[in-house]
Amino acid sequence: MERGFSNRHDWRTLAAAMAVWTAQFTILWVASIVFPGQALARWIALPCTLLAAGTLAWLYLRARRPALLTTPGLGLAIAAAGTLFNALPPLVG
Amino acid sequence: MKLSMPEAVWGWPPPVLDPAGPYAEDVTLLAWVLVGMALVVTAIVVAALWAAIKGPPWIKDKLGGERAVWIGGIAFPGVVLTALLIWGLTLTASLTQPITGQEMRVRVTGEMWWFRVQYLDEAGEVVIDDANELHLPVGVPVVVELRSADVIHSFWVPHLSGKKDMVPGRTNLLRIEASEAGRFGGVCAEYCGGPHALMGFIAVAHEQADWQTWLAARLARQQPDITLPQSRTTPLPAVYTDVDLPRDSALRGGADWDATQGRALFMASGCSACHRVAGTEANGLAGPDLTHIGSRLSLGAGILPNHRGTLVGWIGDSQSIKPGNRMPTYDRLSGDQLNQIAAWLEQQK
Amino acid sequence: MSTSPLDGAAPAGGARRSETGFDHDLYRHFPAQSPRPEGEVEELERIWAAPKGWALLTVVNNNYIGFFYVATAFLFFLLSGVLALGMRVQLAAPLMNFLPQDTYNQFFTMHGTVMMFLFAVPMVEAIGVMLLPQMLAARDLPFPRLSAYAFWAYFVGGLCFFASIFVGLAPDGGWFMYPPLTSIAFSPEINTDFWLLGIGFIEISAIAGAIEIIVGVLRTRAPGMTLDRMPMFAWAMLVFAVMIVIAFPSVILCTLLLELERAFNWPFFDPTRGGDPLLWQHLFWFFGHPEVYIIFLPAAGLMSMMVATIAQVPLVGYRLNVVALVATGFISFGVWAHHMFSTGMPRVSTGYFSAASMAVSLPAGIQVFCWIATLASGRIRWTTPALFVVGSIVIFTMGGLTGVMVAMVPFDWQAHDTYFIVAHLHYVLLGGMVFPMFAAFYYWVGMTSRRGLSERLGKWVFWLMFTGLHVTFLPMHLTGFMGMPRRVYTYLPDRGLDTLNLISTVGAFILAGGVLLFLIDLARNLRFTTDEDAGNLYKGGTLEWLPTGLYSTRSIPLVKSRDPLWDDPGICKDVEEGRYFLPNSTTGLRETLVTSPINAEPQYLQIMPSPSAWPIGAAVTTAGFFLALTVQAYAFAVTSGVIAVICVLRWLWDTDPPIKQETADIGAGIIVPIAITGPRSHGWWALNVLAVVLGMIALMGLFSYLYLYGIHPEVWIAAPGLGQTAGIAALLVAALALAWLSRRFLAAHEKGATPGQLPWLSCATASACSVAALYWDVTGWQAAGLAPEATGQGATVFGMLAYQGQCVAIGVVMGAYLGYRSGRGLLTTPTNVTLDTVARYLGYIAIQGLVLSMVMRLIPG
Repeated sequence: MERGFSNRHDWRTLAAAMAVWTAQFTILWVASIVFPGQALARWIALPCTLLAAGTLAWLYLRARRPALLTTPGLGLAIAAAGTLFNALPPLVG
Repeated sequence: MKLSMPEAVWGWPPPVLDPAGPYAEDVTLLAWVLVGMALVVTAIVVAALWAAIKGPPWIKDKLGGERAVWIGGIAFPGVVLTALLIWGLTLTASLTQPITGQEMRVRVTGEMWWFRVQYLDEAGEVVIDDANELHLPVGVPVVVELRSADVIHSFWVPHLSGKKDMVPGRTNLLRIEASEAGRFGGVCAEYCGGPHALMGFIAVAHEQADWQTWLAARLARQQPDITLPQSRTTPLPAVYTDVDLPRDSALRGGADWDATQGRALFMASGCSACHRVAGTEANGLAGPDLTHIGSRLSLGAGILPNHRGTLVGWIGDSQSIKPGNRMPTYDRLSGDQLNQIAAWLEQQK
Repeated sequence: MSTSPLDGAAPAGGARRSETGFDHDLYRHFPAQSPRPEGEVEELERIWAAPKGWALLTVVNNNYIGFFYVATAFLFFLLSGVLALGMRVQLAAPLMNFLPQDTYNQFFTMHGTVMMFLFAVPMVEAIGVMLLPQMLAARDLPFPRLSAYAFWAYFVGGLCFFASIFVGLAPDGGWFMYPPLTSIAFSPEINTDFWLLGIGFIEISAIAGAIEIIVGVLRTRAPGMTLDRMPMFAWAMLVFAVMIVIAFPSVILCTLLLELERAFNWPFFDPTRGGDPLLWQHLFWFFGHPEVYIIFLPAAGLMSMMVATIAQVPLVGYRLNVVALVATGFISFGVWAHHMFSTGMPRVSTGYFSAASMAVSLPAGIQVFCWIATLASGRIRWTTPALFVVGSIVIFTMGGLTGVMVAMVPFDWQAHDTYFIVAHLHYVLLGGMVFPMFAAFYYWVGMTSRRGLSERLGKWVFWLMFTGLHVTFLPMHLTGFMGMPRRVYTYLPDRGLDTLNLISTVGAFILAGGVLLFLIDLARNLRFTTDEDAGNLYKGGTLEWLPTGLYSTRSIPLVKSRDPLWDDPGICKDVEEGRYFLPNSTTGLRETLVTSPINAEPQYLQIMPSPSAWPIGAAVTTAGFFLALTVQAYAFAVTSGVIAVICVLRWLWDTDPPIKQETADIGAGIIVPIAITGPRSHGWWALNVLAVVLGMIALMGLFSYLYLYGIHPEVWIAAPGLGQTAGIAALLVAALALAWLSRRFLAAHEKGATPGQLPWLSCATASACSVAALYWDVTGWQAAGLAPEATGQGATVFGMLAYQGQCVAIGVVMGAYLGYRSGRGLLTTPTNVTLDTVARYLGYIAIQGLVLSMVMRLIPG
């Protein structure tokens, strides 16, 4: 199902997905250097990650569940993968 | 002057794939898996390219569709990367466990262009001063406290562990442990200007009994009346005579140079301004500690074997061996004088 | 040609919501049926003609500047390659004395610096300058004089910088120049200063180029070229330019800080006084890692376009490729500290960078599979570009995989700073940029040369380079595992490294042989031309292959698909006969069409500048200023700097000319304004981009401040009193208000009325308020006992105030310039580009000053 390309929604979804990843990464990293080696850094990381994942899910629904190989779909998928990867260090690292 | 270290401290097999301790073993396994992954994926991509260009129509059809992009570009890498990342993160955690206090402690300070090595007791006090060589017992975890006196250096013994930088203003901690005896080469792995290429050291792992012998001998020289911690019960010999000299005894027994004269020359030539020899008036801290120079495996920070010829050559003209190093050339001393100094230094085991 | 479901090109023509209110039905008039009058083409030729003789130096047109730029960047590639050959000879056997220690240390530093700063980024920018306008069917880039300035500054500055190696003054601290090695204590000579001030030009060039490209790609596309019909290279350059805007400020700041440390002893990186060597590493690598993607993404864009032509099908997965470019751009900003895994960062922090480094390989993999899919859905023609394209896919994949390997922290702890990394970086850079560049040379040479290059020799060039690359760099993976560290001028025998290094050296000469053969081919076949070019040798489908003269295309086409030349075989003829937009010059001056960012609907006509000596004058004197500072010839530096400022002002003087004609007919009766002011004008956008650059520098400065506070809070002293702080804030708010008001004052007048003194005075007062605030800030800190050379706090506070001072000083000059223009009666009402620019700039620096000041005074307080 192809939509007309000059579709601001697709591009906004992509930009928003990337922004979510950027925000989650930044917050997690800053927490890890402001509270090095402390549990507090992990306690900040996990809710932040859940919030990021939730936002990505909301974007996915708002974009009407785009297929993976579309602009918004792939953008969300890459952002989700990045967010998931970012969540691993406080969990297993 | 032939620079070489023919003591099997480097060479084949590649040290990164030839671990001699637990911290290196796990990384070696990871390295092999990663190499395998890289080869396999390269082969897949090359095969896909080949098939895309020269393959029969049914393959080209499959590769030209969205399924190929989804599998090759997203699904397969996603799974592989996730698995590797989890492994890498857990391995990192196991290599950087918190310090328990049961480990042996050594402080290594990077200098331009050599390694100052100081063995610490449990209270963190320096008990042995040395340079360019790190001795450790097999099977005992060691925490190396890494510092720098000037610029950023890096401490790397590939057989025993990954590297860690020596950053001025910080103390970085590195865990290493040897699981077998042997001599393992190390280098400075962060460009520090000048003769960075010639800044190395040797890590020597001793079996337990050998380690006690070595430790006792060193402690005896440093401070004859030191009180050993409870865990070490071996009594200290008062004088140490027969040490395992790794090199060229023939030269030692050569011409009859007067070591006492050498001692006097050492003090008179200003060597004591930079070098320390325990039990003498030489107490310079700028250069490597020479208390144990006679038993050291190398000279010049891991670049020359240690025998009369190299010792004389180094003192006489270190600048042409390791240009830019901080030791001046002593070509104003005659060959005899150099030999006398060397004779005395050889006795400092 | 097949269409794949991945490739959804939107329906041609209408049924599209308008972005600007432009009526899409008007497009039905094109191609126009009635023939054009005589003489239009000759007039275009006359208007766009290049100056002759020495005056050619004043040319601003992208066909020339682009060519000069590409040629200069290639020259640096060759020069740096020769350095590498010297290095390989030195390393061919242990303990060789071909290049003694100090010389080798300068060689490897210069090799890295020249390749990264003088070759790679300028080359992709240069290819953009040459190709982008034609790909977008624009007549030129939006700010041609800025391109000229950027090029000449780079040319003069780069060559002078390279010359330092001939007098033994080349930097020798590695291309990344870590302090404390590069601090004054351990590098007392001016070699390091050469590097610092030398790459200042490259920073200027890159930022100027980025501004042009962002505005060019978003605002000067041919009508109908919506975002999803843009050539992939345009997308890549857009992402490239945005990345430069975000990343380069970090290196601008850290080079500024190191120079302040060296010149004035301000301890940013000295841990004994509250600084930290790792601050440099964070700042440098925040720039340094995106830098390599900045280099790679445009080449990937070129690859995407060439792959399509080589396989004779449209690119499969166009949108996926775009997403991949954007995602790579974003995620590449989160990986920088993977260059610092062994510095002793907290473990969880290393984990985040490891995670992001793994994630960043996903979009790259998607691109590779899209290329493979494109090749699979078409039929490859084995030309030289095809060889280079396929070769680079293989090489880049291998390099990318070793990259995934070193993204794993424990493995990196073994591989970091060894020849394994040397192998990795050369595979990704050669495979990801150099090979695509050679492919592009063969592919696009027809646009700029009367003859194409030799296919027969080209195949030899490829096989020599491909073989040479593997013979050189494949053994280095093993050498790294065997323990050979980087940046070593020699190695000891008996380490087993002899044979492997010798093989690498032989490989380097094979690689060089391929390049030499290429040079021979160039000498025999490249004949620069702007209008009798060899044309579409490889049968590409995008707009750069339209017939062009120096004026670019005769008429600007209406774009209906991604590969217009494939989809409309008659388009070349229609364009040449003037059946589309702007078949002539409506004002008798150089013109191009400015269109809307998403749908490329025509918005206004832009008058383009003609050749001028002021940009090259400004460039040479700017270069002179920096170089004189380096060698401490201060009188010469000041003189050169003043002349540079004069040249820039004189150049700017021509950019806001009063234009009598207000509208133009761009074809088929469509009327657009000529030059507009306000948020839709391209000048407005340019200032926005500049503001982001300045803001990023300030942000990096604040990061430095907070970072040092976190590491050494013990040296921090209390800030001056809150009353003073409030006063400074009030002054800056007043500056902001006055700057904003000046535009209102101007707008209060009717069109054509005289604006009076209020608008420029308002700006001048705003500028004065900023100066006063800064003065008060500096003296306040001094009174509170803060000294810049004493602690990290002093250094960062005064460093950021010095940066603010530079911005404020420029504001003072701009205010004076505005006043002069106002006095000469050149301030048009109710809106004026010069006032807009000056007022908005002053408003911006008031905000920047406010944020900097308040953060440093209130945190920690």
